[in-house]
Amino acid sequence: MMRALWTAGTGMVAQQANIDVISNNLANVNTTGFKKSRTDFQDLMYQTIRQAGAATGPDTQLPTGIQVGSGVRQVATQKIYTMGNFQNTGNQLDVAIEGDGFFRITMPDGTINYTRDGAFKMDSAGRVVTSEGYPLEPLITIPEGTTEITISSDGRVSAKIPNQTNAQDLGQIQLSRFINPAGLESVGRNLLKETAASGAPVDNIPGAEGAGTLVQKYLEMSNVQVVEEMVNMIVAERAYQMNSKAITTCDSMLEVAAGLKR
Amino acid sequence: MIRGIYVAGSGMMTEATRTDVIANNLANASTAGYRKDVAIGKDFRSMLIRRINDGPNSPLIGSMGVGSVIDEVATIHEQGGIRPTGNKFDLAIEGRGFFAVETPAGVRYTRNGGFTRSAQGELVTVDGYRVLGQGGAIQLGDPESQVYIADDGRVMVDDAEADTLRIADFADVKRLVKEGANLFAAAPGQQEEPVAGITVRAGYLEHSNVNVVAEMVNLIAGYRAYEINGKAVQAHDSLLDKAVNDVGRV
Repeated sequence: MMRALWTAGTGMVAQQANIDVISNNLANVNTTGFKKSRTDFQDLMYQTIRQAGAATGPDTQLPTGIQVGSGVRQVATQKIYTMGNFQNTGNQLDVAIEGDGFFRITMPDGTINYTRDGAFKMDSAGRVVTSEGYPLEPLITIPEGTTEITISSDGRVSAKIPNQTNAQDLGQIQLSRFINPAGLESVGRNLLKETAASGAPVDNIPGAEGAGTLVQKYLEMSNVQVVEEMVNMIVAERAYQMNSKAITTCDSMLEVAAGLKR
Repeated sequence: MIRGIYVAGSGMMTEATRTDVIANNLANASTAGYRKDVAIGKDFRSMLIRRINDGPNSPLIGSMGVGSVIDEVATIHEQGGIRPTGNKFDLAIEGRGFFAVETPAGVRYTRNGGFTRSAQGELVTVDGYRVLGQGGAIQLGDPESQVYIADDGRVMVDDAEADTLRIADFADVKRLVKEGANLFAAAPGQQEEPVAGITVRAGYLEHSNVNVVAEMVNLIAGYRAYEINGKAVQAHDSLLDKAVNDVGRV
């Protein structure tokens, strides 16, 4: 059958995957700390029908050959780590990272996951936890009766307790950085996991060695730009349509071929 | 048999290949750094027709074409549009040149600058192949190091010049061989040449240079040519039908 039929088919599949990624970006437009993804494509194999450089005479050769490509494939979805907008929430356990780095979260199985979502809460034991109840690492426990919590830009957490003159130091939030944050694995719930591609985490206190600083009472919004995603969606839809046109054209050609024999 | 049936058939095969090439261009309309292909057809050398049964000197009575064939699939190395991505390791070349990339099969060339920093601190492609600088793989240092890639291809790590991107050009870019995965290979004997005055844009990616309107027009034109050749085949078939079944009937 015609090569073009399968080639255009790969184009449709690739654009569908593109739409999947764009939809997920749009679905998470209001997700705290969400980082948008982008689909990367590659052209597939080429079939060489005539080799360029083949000899055509004693001292002459073909300057160009005939190579017909066989379509496209989705090769990666890359996370884009640009900053999201900051939103003032007034909540004293909301923390945004200004700059690079991730909060460290202890999972129920004891492993560490990473997040940019700084919408922390306090559980019944006074521990600072994520919305899912997973504690921050290193653990910070807020004593009973605390009236005000202060988180400094370098991550120092202190609590003001009635009848005490000095604020009580509760510890320091740490940030992890990765050599290749694009290689982190998204596991949902705003959490990311370390992989061989991301490299090992480098832990620092906020503000040190290029790590970002913390901003209390603010949340980092997603970095999804709605206009950009809508434009990408239009482009993807039209690309999908064009590939389907190539398929219908191919189909019509096959119909002509089939109609030759009467 | 009637020659024209083969001539029209070769026309159909040419248009089918042309459609294959157009379909590949359309499939790669969103592939960063993709370079479109154009199928160029040619006619076979026409043959001279001689009148026979005319004694020793059979006179020429003219020439006749014997069909068409795809002569060349040429890659058009025209600049594609450039769009911002927000990723500082995405690079786009303005003008001539290719990024040199180290693959298991040897050095390959690409216009797709969608790169990342690997866990080993090297600048790599999405397939994990190392992007080459003047001194081999480009080291971008540890997570703490601040990387900045200047317009002239210099790679600055923590304000010190670490390396310069190896941007390769070729005297005849049309001889480069497409390998898929956005890679081009140099043809045997083809020498890499340095580019004078390169401009690299960090934080941008180059689109494919596929002009979808032109491709759609070519698709329609190709289809109609195919259809018309099909009609010619059918007309010849009718002639043969007459010759075989009607001529000589009493």
